[in-house]
Amino acid sequence: MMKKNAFCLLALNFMLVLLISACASTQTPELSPEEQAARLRAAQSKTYTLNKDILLRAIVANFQDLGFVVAEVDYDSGLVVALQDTYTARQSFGDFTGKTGVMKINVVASHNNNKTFLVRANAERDIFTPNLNFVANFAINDIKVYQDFFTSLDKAIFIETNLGVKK
Amino acid sequence: MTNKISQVLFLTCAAFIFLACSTRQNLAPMSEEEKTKQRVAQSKSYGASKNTILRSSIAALQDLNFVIDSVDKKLGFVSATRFLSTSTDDATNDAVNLNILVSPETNKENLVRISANFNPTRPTFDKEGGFYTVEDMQAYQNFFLALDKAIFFETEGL
Repeated sequence: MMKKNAFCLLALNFMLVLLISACASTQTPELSPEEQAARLRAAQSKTYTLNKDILLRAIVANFQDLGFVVAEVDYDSGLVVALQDTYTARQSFGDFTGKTGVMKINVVASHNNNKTFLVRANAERDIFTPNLNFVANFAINDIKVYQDFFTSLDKAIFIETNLGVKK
Repeated sequence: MTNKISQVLFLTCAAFIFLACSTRQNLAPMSEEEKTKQRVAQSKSYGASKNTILRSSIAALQDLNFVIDSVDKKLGFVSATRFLSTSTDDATNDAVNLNILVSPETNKENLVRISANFNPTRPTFDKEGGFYTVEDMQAYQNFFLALDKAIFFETEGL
């Protein structure tokens, strides 16, 4: 009788442990606003060891490849501003292809030290009414957008530095 | 009978909702081959200096009735817009935006890369309302013809 009770207790204990472990959340703990901002900032930035001319030309060429309109370029501040209508675009960053609105990207290439440049990209989405009146703009916090941007920029840099286009 | 009518109504409503909820089918993304072809069509090498090409590009754009939006001499970048309406009565305000990038190549050659976007500013923001990249290669060839002439005039001092 005593043995049976102990066995039941052990089985109950085992089941409880199983239940608790099954109910335990597998989600990662939510990041604090500061951590989220730091994560976004890291995704928006990349360091390149390149000549400034090649880097800026690659940024512009990358936007030309993807059908962006390059609205502004300033060599001294290392700023490039480009726009894309994501609704008509054949390829955009992240999962924005086919979505209504205009994606606006600001890229700044700033000196880190003698030979390295920090490229920081910020994207926003502008929404318009059917009459093309501006409604609102939202900062794009989707990390995938910035990952895609830097992947295509890497390709453009490769073309710029290796396929005959050199300073 | 009532059942049949309600069935037809239900199906019509379902089809309407389905169509209303559907998004634009994405255009096929450009393959690497297409991108390369486009890049080649948009590029041309010239044996002139960067400054000469920049001045000639601006002159060619002016010849073609473009308005120069911005120029960055250090990088070799020009942005220009041409409004296609011919009169002030024209309600449409379609425009073409052109970006030109001059990159130094090896030796004394400079590569000119142009890209154009058509901006049909129509009253509705439908599938034709937004701006999109000009993929007609002939358009780029036509611009290079104008640039060839402008470079000739510039180098000959005409």
